[in-house]
Amino acid sequence: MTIRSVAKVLSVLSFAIVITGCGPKRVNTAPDPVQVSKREFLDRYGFFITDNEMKKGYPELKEPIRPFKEIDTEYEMNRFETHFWEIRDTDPKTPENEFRDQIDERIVDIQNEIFWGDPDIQGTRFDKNGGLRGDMAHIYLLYGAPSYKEKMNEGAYHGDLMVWYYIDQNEKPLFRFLFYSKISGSNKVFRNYTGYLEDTLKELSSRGFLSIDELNEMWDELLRSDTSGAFRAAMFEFSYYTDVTVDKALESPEPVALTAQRAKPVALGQPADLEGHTFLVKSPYHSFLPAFLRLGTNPNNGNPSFALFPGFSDVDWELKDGKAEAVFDLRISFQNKATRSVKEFMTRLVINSPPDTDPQTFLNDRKGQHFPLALDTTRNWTDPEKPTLRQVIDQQLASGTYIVNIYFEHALTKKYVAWREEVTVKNTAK
Amino acid sequence: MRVIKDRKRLAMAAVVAMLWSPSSTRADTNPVLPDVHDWKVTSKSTIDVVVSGTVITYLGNDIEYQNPNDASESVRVISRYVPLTIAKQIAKNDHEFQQVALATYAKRDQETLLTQLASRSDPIIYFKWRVFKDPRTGKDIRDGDVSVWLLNSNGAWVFATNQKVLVQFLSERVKDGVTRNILVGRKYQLGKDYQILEPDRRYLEALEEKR
Repeated sequence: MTIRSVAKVLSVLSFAIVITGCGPKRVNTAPDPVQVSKREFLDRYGFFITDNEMKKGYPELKEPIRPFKEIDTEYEMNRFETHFWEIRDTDPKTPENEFRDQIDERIVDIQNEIFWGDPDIQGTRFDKNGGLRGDMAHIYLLYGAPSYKEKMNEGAYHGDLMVWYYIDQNEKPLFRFLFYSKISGSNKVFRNYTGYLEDTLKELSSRGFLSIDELNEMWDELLRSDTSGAFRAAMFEFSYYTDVTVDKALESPEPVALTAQRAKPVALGQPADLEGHTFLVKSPYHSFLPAFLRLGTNPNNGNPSFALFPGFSDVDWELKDGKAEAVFDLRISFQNKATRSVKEFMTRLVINSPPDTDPQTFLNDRKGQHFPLALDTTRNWTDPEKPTLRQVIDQQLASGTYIVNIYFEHALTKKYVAWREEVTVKNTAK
Repeated sequence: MRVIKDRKRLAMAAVVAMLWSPSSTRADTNPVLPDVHDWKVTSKSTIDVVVSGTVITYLGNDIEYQNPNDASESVRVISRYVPLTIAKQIAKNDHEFQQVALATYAKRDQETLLTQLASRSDPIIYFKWRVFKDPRTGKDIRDGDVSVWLLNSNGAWVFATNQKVLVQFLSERVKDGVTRNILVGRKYQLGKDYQILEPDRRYLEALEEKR
């Protein structure tokens, strides 16, 4: 084989290699369905995806969902979408998702170009201003139609301007969105609230550079055109409320379920979870703790004396350290009828069955019977240094007639009874 | 209420060492309490106290029933449960739609709680009456006595006929130094016997401090 023939063979081989190695591969041209779903979702609802959903997903779920950015399976995308709408449902009691319905209606409005024929802002089109991903659509999707809108045609120094006002229930301008456009550009929302007129005018200007004289002329031009003053107000103040900023207003709104969780009304007064507590006797009542109030007289000075007599069977008795235990909170307030001043006495009473008896037998043997709680010598449980009830009555109350409110409550189950009586106190020292 | 006369006993410590058994006036001799468990509810309302613009306490229910087998017979039942004090958080939300939605959520949570509470309530007053239709006017007219049962604070049912139950709205200073009284509850009184519905004031105090 000559050198030439060898070279020929090699060149053929190398050509074959080139052909096979670099030849057109079978490229799968069908788009990834997950990416398509994600793109569609972003186009329609992208302004509602929060930063957390984008970057963290839903890690709190039993079967967590990855961040939106990382989702690469249809299964996970479906789960994301379902949960995304679930936590935004404004009325979970109804089968409809009112929030989603509203957003979808707004999308239809945008696609139908509802402002095209609007006399206030005639000729305004979403599709010329970024479509569903533009600033106008962003605001419309978030807040719907503005309460007030106005358009200012292009001037010598500025392009078309437009304002959208949103008025709140206090009839104050909650948002003043100011749109401006550079030459042949789409409407952008003004965000540059520096407080300096020069900066604002430069931002709104349709020219590259403006001298001081030109800025003055531009301002004069705006003054002449802005007969309502709506544009000037929007240039300097985004909202009547100082803490409402344009950037905040354009943030993705927090899902209502999460806001509701945060702003949930505080519910007080209900018993704690009683799981883990063993009761030897449960009162037949759900909320009532019947007891006899004995309002007597202190034989030494004639001042009032207090005792309570709850029934054994009317009290919830807990098994605690081998004993039957009931804990009560007691509050007695004295309001002077003349001066309206209030003195208060509070204590906690812990009642146990005797140590050497079977607690269940002890309680069974006392069905239908009552036990005494003599209150006069009881101390304030939060501070043993504080006076007893007797000392409060005899030493802290001025002579006079008092309305006494007594509130007696089982500390654990919150069953209670209350009394309101009138007593007279005679304290010579006061 | 039976008066307890044994003063010596009152001086004893508050431990279970001594027993006392009053011959209470439980309703052995009273007519049997009405049983309305399968009767038709004709009206229903909660008994609540609006403490302030953002605080409300639910104390019980006021429900009127009609006998399904005899439409002329009605019973009104006032019941109580462990008071639920609800303080609305004043969330600064700048969007009306969001506000409405939050209110819906709050209402749903509240309704759930109140339904749970209603299932754990104690009746404290029954009114029972009959009516007949006046043939001339077509209007309902009371027929016979109105029977009233009230569970007093001792746990005894007191019975009366044609007596009014006085309802008193109770107000009180939450604490000394606060110059105004606030509504704290209701008192239902039949003769000398009464039943007070009111929340544990510590919760109101805590909320008052936040104001």
